[in-house]
Amino acid sequence: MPRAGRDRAGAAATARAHRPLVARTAHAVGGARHWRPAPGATRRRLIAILTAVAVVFLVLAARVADVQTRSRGYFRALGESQRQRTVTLAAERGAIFDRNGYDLALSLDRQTIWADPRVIRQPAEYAARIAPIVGVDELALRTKLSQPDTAFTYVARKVEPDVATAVRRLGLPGIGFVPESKRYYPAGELAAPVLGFVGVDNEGLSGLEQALEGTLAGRPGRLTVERDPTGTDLPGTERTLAQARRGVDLVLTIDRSIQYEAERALVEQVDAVDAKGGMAIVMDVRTGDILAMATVDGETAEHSARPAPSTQRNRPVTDVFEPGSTNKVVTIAAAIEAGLVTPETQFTVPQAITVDGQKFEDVTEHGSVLTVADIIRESSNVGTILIARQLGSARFDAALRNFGFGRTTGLDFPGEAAGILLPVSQYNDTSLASMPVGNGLAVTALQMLDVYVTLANDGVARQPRLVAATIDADGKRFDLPLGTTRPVVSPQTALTMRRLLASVVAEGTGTKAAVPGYSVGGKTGTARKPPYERPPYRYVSSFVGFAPVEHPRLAAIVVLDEPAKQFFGGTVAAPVFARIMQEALAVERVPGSDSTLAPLP
Amino acid sequence: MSPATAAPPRRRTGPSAPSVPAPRRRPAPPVRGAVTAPRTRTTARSPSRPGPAPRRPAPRRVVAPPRDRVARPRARVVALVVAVAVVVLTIAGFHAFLAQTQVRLEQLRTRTATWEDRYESARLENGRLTSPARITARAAELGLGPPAVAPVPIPLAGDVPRRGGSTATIAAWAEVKRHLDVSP
Repeated sequence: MPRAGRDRAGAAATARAHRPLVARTAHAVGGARHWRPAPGATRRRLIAILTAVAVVFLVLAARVADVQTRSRGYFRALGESQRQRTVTLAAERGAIFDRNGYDLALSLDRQTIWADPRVIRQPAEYAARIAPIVGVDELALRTKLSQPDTAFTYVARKVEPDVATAVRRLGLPGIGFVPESKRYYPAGELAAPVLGFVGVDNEGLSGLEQALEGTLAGRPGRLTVERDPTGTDLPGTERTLAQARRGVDLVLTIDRSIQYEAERALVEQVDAVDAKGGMAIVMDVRTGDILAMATVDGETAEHSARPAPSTQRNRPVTDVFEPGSTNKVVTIAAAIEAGLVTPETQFTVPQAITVDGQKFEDVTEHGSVLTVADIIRESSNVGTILIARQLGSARFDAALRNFGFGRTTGLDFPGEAAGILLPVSQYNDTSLASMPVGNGLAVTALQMLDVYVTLANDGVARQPRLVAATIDADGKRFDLPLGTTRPVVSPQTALTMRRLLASVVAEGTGTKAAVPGYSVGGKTGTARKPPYERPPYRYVSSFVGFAPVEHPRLAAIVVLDEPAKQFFGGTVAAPVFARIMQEALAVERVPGSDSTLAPLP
Repeated sequence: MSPATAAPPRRRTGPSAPSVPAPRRRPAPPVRGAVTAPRTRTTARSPSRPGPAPRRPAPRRVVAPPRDRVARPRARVVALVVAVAVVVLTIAGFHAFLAQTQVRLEQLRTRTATWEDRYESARLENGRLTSPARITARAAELGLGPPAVAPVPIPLAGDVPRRGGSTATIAAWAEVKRHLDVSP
């Protein structure tokens, strides 16, 4: 650009630079007023504005930094509480199997039908359409659906798949479905008091379901899901915090076949003799495994004789009774163990004896001289009392406790009773007469069976058990150890007692307990229930035994409560024992007896 | 010899030297793309005296033609845009693959859950069908009942015959198990 041109342009620029945007000041120049800003004012104003803006932004930045650092946790929690919802993932409950792997209890997912009454405009129509399908009362359902302030109400819980499908097909707005786990017992009422039952929320309320709740229940998981302001879950926002852990399965010692046969035989006999009820236990002598534990209800106005439902107590371990003559084996075993008597020891036994004004007599006629073997074979009360007198209170009490009376068996079943056993210091003058023959004390059926199992097991008591193994969520099986053992009497005493008990079945009061092909040993029991002196008299009839005598494998007890038509243990309980034992020996494939061990004459 | 190629005569320095006007040189052809200043005559040539010999123009720096100067940065920009597009498309493709896999996974989970439900239902049904109560009831309908005396297992005398072994203790095998092979 030529110099002249540059000069002109520069002058114009200079002129614009000095031209004020806003006339701020005016000064007179040669009489004329020219608006011109004070030198540096614009710059100062600019700086001031920028400074104010910077201050504002600094404050905002500080607040942002504070929110994101110091108050981060608070706002994060606040947002999550508004937006997120934690859902509990129910854990699948463990199954219960019998010893052969058959399902006794298992859980399946079923649909629960719920309704939102707020969106239901015709509750009557809904109730009329849904009630017949789900099987609920239409009027009650209509009442539930007619509550406009309620957002949630159950229509039917845990319905079968076909029912849920039928309701879903109705396509009714406001009706929703949610999966829930439902407990099933495929074998029906089989061993129901033993298994127990669960509540509507799948928590164990009785039996093994309650006793092993912690094992069966598993561990629930947690899931978070985000929801919109109306509370609707946003799809795709589920996030699992913890996976649910399935419960542990149980493998019981119960044999389904033996259990069924025990219940069936008891039901038939309870019905035949018109008893109030009955119970039976079958146990493996070598391991202490309970193969069957049956409870039967007698006929009432509402039902005929039937296996007890799950709401009933497991009476073989919860109910106590006066054992009667089955307790004589404790007295005699203790006397033999103490060396006081042998099976051949003779006693002069009158037909009746009076102790402190109370008369004790024998039911069957017998000679005046009886051996110990005769005493037990004929179930002589008087003879047993004479033996107990030789034993003495202290040794008698020690024998009772050594055989397990007065304390629980270690089965750890809910409601298990320890029995009623007087301390020696509280014995009265008739205690050493009544208790040796099974009155004046109370035991459970399991405690009495344990006595005979001990004698069958060479004098060694073994803790009974109901659970043989567990299976964890990964399918791995863990066999549980056998119960603890403790010596009670010597093997020689136990052998002698087995032979004495074999003669009871062979020639004594327990002939109806004989099982074809096997040698059986056992004892009958007939105990009068209080009030003892006032008719009508009521009895508890029982039989306890084991087989085969030479190498005992199984032991069983049968107890009938208040049989009306006949009451002797050898008449009403022994046949049931024979039937149950026959089935159990066949199931267990126990070889028949070779009769190498002859009963004592 | 043409005036264009003849060597210029030697100049004499004195005024008396006869002056021979110097041949006018033809200026060099302009370099392609170069901007040449307009030729201006700043001083008038004296007609009486020959002008000084024309100067050779100073060597000029060759500046890249405008087309080349624009093409290089443009190529870089295009390459950058292409690279970004490739990266974005790769990420999008990966996400699409993840989404497809997720859908497949959900399908498999649904199928697994369906088959598990079927298994559990079949298991329940099996438990019901094999329950002793049902079997005995069904047996009673067919006219069957428990035996009067249950069979008693009796151990065989001597060695238990193994499969395919001696048939000495089972004399009636061929008669009893006619439909089977000779040896048990």
